[in-house]
Amino acid sequence: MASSSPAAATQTILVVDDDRGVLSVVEDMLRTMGYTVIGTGDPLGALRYARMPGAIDLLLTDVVTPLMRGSQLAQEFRVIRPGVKVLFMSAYNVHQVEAYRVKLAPGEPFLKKPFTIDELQSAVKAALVYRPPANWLRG
Amino acid sequence: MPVSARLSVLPAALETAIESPRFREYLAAGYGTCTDIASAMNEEPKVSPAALRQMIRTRLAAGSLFPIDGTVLAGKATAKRCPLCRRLILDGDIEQEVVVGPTTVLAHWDCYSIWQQEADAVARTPQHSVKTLTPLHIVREDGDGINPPTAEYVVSFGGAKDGVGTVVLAKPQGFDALVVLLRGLSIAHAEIGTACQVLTEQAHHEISDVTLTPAVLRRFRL
Repeated sequence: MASSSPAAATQTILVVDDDRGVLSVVEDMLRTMGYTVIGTGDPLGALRYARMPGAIDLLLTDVVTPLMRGSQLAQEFRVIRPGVKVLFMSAYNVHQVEAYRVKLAPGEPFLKKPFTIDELQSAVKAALVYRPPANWLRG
Repeated sequence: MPVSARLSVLPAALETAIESPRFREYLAAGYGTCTDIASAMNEEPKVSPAALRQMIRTRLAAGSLFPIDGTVLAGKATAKRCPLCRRLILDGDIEQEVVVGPTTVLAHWDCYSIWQQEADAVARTPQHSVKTLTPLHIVREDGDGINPPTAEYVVSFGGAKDGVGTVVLAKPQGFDALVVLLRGLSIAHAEIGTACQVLTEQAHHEISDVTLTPAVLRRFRL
């Protein structure tokens, strides 16, 4: 069962998913874990949040959204906030998402749908501490 | 004496603009102490309360404006631009500081009031507070040696575009447990029968437009 941790209380996660029902449930799950959560169904809205003041520690985004691919959102988000961690979620596996220009670094966390609350918590925790190899170049 | 002569420290590019009738009007209105002169030159025309309300309603519906559920503080104007009406918050205005998570928004008191009223109205509408209509996905492992009546099923919801659910509700073992779960979700008897029949022959079945209330989600600890 997922539980909150002291570290989570100081961390903020921005969730992007165009499925409103899923977005609302994922937001609630992350809040239960103790994170501060901002949710949006609109990737352009996510970029607006990126330009606003305040910390965002993790961008949790679907790989396939109608307005903008998750990879493009992550790329533009990292331009605005270079230090942000990104966790992709998708119904596709890590190899299939390469067709959507998501190339994960070795060992980089990834959230495969459908996921349980415990899988969500593990992936978020891992993504928040993950560092890609120094020589890794993002596509 | 030209205004630009009095403000000689300004970049040359602003000098022409400073001589404009609009800036003279701005100074005449008593806003000459504003620190953000470049912003002042781009000041938006005032919008009517009705138009502002409509704009806020549209932005809330589109998700580009969030509901107010954080800390709100009132204070003196700091000459920042209000993101709602796009006009500067000047001396004499009451400035509302709205803090939601990592985001701080400074707005006019009047604009904030309309935002709060519209956000409250959105929160009261059924689609935000009562239920979610979503596809329900039931999947089992496929292959030789799998016995559908006793196999483990993964029941998840969401994911209308992927053909796969997003969040796992439960993993019932066998048809009996699956039927109990589906009854608990108020799925019609005939629909449950169809699901079991389909799952006898194939590894995936989708039931569209299932109603998930907050009470149901809490039951599954979501």
